[in-house]
Amino acid sequence: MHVAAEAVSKKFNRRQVFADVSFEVAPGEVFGITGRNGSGKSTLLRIIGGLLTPSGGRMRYRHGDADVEAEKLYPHIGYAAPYLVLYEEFNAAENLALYARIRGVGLTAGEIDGLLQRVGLPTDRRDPIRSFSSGMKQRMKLLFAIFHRPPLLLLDEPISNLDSEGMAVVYDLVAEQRKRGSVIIATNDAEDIQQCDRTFRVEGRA
Amino acid sequence: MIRQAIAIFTKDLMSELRTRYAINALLMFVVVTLAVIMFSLVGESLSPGALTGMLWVVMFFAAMSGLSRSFVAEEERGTTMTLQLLASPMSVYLGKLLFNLLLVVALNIFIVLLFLLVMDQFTVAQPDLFWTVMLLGSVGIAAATAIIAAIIAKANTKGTLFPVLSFPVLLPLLMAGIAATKVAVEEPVWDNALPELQMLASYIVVVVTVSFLLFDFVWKD
Amino acid sequence: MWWKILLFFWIAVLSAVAIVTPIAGTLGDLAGVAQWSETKMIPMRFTVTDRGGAADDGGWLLRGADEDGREADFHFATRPDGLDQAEGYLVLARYDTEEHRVEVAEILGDYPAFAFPFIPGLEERAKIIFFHVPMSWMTVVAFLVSMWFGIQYLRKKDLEDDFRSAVSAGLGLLFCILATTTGSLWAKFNWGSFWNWDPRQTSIFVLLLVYGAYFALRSAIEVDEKRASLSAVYSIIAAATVPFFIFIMPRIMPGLHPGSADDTGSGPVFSSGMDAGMRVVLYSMLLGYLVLYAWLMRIQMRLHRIKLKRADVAL
Repeated sequence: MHVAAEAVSKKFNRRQVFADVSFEVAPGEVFGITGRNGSGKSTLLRIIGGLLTPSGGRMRYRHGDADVEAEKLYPHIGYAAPYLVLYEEFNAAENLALYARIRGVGLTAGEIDGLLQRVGLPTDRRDPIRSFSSGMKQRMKLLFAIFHRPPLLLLDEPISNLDSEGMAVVYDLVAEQRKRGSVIIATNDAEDIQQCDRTFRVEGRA
Repeated sequence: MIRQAIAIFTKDLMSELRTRYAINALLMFVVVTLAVIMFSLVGESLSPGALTGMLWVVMFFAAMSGLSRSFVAEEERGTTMTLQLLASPMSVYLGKLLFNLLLVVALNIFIVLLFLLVMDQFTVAQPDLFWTVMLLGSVGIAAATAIIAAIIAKANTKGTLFPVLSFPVLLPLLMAGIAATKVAVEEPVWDNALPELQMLASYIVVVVTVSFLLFDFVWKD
Repeated sequence: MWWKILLFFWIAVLSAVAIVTPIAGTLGDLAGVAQWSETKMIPMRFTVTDRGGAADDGGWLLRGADEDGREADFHFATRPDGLDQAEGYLVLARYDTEEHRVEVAEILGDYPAFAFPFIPGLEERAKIIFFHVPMSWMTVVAFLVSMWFGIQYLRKKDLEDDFRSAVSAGLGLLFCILATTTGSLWAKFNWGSFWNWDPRQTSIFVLLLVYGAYFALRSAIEVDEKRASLSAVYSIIAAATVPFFIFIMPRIMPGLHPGSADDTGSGPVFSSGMDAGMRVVLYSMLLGYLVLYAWLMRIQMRLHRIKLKRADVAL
């Protein structure tokens, strides 16, 4: 998916978070967003994901030959972030089945097992996500982001809480996504940045 | 959109059946409220008309205590963003409306049956009209509370704000509902309640339409 | 500057006119009152057509005509002062159905050129409409303006519109409280109790609740943009449901206000037959209140901009 930010700015309570952000991400590209803590990386990522409306400027999306409007963006993106919370009263397989049902993606039990194994989660259907460790939850969030094969993958600090094996899973998913579409990663981690073809630094207001 | 809405509705239902956040508390709330009313009425003989008012008071407060749950739960658990990423605002609203509808209808059936059981003086002249009014009233309550719940879920003082915001919006519905129920309880003529029934129906249409148009602004940050 | 002074005088003079102008009835009113009370006195005005002479009982009997041109005998206890110059009187009187003449109890003054009509059941209390009615209308106008700016915010996402909406709601709340207070004080003297759950009393009570809920909601949301869109949505929903009262209320309760569906007693206040003088004063007063409202809006908006500027400097 082709993503373009045109002079995007965001204010909260009349306070400028950032201003005049412009960049373009082409299909097949892994794009990094860096910046100090509080500079608005996550805010920018939410704007890219259509979860927040920018105060100024605009976002443009192109999938294949057609423009995608911000309101119709949600089927085309996958999003994983530390502040994302899944339905913790259900177990991992139930969560996946639920998301697949809402998104209208058919997932068989076998496919669900395959996905769970892919990120190194147990395939037994015993424990609700509530009892997962934070690393396991992070793996679950990665699944939430990629199970429907979106053309645009948005990752906010994707390796937080993950061990080296988990990091390998993330980079593997990123490499796979590169073939399917584009990836935007908000991070300050050196290893994450290595995965990126280009980076953009958000300069928040002092 | 319908498919998404039904999936969200099923999710809420499964979640509710698993956690029992709303159901248990609501059933107890109804039992306790009815018990208070019965204790305060020991030895009193009230007309069915006066008891109609009581019935609606119980239904109103039961709705106020439980119906904000569907949206408030998403906000409190932090799953709002997950849902925003999964489905269109329209499907979310429709799914939540369906869930509220099921909850209100089940709750009101429970309240009415209990009420009929324990209040000997409460007799209904026209059961068919009575149940029609109850159904329309429940749908109206579900429609109005769904959008108000979506609004208060974003505010700080969710619990107290819910009845404050709901009451002025629900009042026309309550008045029409009480008037129509009184007809069903006291008078043998269907047509006497016809204007109220029409009003209840148009109230539902108006509230659902307005909610559909405005939900986007409430749901998106 | 000049228009503010003008506005001040406009409202002050109209208020004075509304209070000072006498109520004066006609022979028809006198006859109407006489049908249900022998002793009830009402104010009326008439012009003297024949100065008459001493009556058998030592009083004075003269001939006069009311504003409709109907003539009758007027009986005074003593010869009225200044009868030689007087062309007319405003008197407190009743109609004596046995003697077929007007029994004058007291002379209130000379014939007033401008007077409000006598309305059975309201009398002097009818003057409330010059204050109460504009306040009630402003309550509704302010609410609609507030909703209008709410819609504008939702369309253009300009926080200035949200502030206009909130200020208008604040003024609406003020007018709402004033209308409710004046109304219920008046109700105490006319209907016997402060609150009767008359349809319009209920409607204004609901408006009061809506305004209250609107501000409760605003104070419970911290992010400006969220507060703006949620309060706009709430005011639209309230505006969509409140009109149902207009339908449902009269079916549940009999109306006491003029213009209610089953109104029989105090009809003429608002009907098309409302006295031209009353109408001019009422509409002028309404205009004054509208300008007052616009002025208050302007002051609040200026205050808001100054505060914003200072906050920007502080940032």
